[in-house]
Amino acid sequence: MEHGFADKYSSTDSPVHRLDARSKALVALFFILMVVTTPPQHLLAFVVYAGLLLWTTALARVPVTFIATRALMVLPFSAFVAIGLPFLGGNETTSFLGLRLSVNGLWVLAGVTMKSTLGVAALTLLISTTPFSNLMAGLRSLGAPAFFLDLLALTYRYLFLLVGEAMRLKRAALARGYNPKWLPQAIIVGRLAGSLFVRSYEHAERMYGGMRLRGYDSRMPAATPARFRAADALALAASMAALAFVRVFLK
Amino acid sequence: MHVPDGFVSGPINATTAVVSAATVGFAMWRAQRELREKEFRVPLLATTAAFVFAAQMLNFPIGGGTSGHFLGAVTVAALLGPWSACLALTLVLTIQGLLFGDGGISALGTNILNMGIIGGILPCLLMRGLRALLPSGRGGYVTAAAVASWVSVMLASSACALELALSGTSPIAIAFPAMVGTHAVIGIGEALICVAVLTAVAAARPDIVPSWARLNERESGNRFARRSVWALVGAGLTVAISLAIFGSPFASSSPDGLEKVAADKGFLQSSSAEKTVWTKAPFPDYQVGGIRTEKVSTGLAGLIGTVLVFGLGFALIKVVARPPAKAGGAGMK
Repeated sequence: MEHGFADKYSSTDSPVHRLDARSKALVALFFILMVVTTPPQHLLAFVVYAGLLLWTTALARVPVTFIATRALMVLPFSAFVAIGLPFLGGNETTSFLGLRLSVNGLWVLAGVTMKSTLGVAALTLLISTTPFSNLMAGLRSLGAPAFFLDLLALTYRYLFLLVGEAMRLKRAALARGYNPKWLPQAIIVGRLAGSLFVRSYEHAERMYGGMRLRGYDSRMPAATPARFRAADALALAASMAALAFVRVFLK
Repeated sequence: MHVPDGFVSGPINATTAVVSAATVGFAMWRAQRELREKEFRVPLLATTAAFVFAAQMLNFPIGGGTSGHFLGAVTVAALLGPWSACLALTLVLTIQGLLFGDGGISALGTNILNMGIIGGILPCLLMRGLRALLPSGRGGYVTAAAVASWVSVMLASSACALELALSGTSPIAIAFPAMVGTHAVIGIGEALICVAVLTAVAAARPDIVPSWARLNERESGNRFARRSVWALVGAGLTVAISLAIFGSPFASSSPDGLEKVAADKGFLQSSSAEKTVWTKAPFPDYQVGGIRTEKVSTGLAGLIGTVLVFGLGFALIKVVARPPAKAGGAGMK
């Protein structure tokens, strides 16, 4: 296998895994909305958000290191976009190791770093506790457009296959002595990508043949979603209440 | 260029989400309408989205030990048409956000707007305009695709920098040169890849490059009228984009813009001409980090203007120059 699977923990078992996909998806969305609207100065709130997330991760028996590694992968973007902020001056400044840093800039930097990391961590936890097909069925019964979800499910189905093919193409190129150093060599990547597109097109042709053989008529058969139990409703209500409390009262 | 959660402010996220949802909704409506004859598009859109995702993992060197990756919007647009490209990019960005933490869920609308709409649909219109101006034949086709790819990356990164600046996350004087400067180089890689993909696909399966296959066909008698409209649009857009892209970096690299974060001085305090523009904008009360000089704001206004003109121009062209046969429009076969 040339690549890891993003949702490799989704088919394990735990109390969190057994919850309904709808309830988990709504809680994850609500969590992200609460986190991104919290002012960066409310540090206690961010600590509690992270604590709640860690507690759920422990309940779900998903390795914390897996969630943390994924969450930290978002940091280079903050570094690229916002790292200059504290050095730009401003009204209020503070000095650290002899550098004059802007207080406002530091807060913005801290805010985007905490929010983006928590956002990725929450989604990784959702994906690690909910099989993708259940998530799609849940989103469908929550009213997301069926056509889009059909496409999304098929994309997911072919994603890892094509990533595998891309990796094989790259390995073959490396075996032939491909050692990219200069921008013009992007054209070689382009040829690999062209080959990949032809392969993906031919997958679509075969898939379409298979779909027609099974009686496809411009509509995918949808799985009936599981019953929404009292426990799911309780988990949803309790999580939302806790998150709203943190967002409003903890500073 | 995938914006994570927390970088873009709530009102901007809401605005971009509404614009993206409307555009993607329209793209889906078109796709579904076409599906009556072309059910094959359902698996094709899915594998194309998977292709874009996989191709984005093939990094290319941009010098200095760093690497960039493929965006893919224009390539897919040249192969399957702009609306399909927008849908495929939406699928890619949704999967990347959901499964891989690449781009936040609250920023999904922003990312779709930047990469699928501003970086996908608009450059495709430019490509059509350029093809009307350039000599027909493979050279003209490849040149138009290459230019559109580069412009696509530039427009997407400019939009990203603009949204970050309007959110107060990164002052425009920093975000704009950093994002657009890096992507000016990445855009060259994008253009090379686009050309290589199109020529490779045309060599292996010429039947799946409809716009390419049509090069050799005799076009209908309506050709001259359609060509001149596209030529006009293309020329206008090229001028507008060059102004927006080449004007703004000059303005923002002036020392005046770098001196201070304008957290204390927002947009509304600038000249009265700007004020009238911005108070009528959908989001007038934002604090705009770093925008102090009129030059920068003029450049930004130019960029926004370009985007608006693109949209209006497209609507106008759709009404005025409706293709006579069904097989016109999106370059689909």
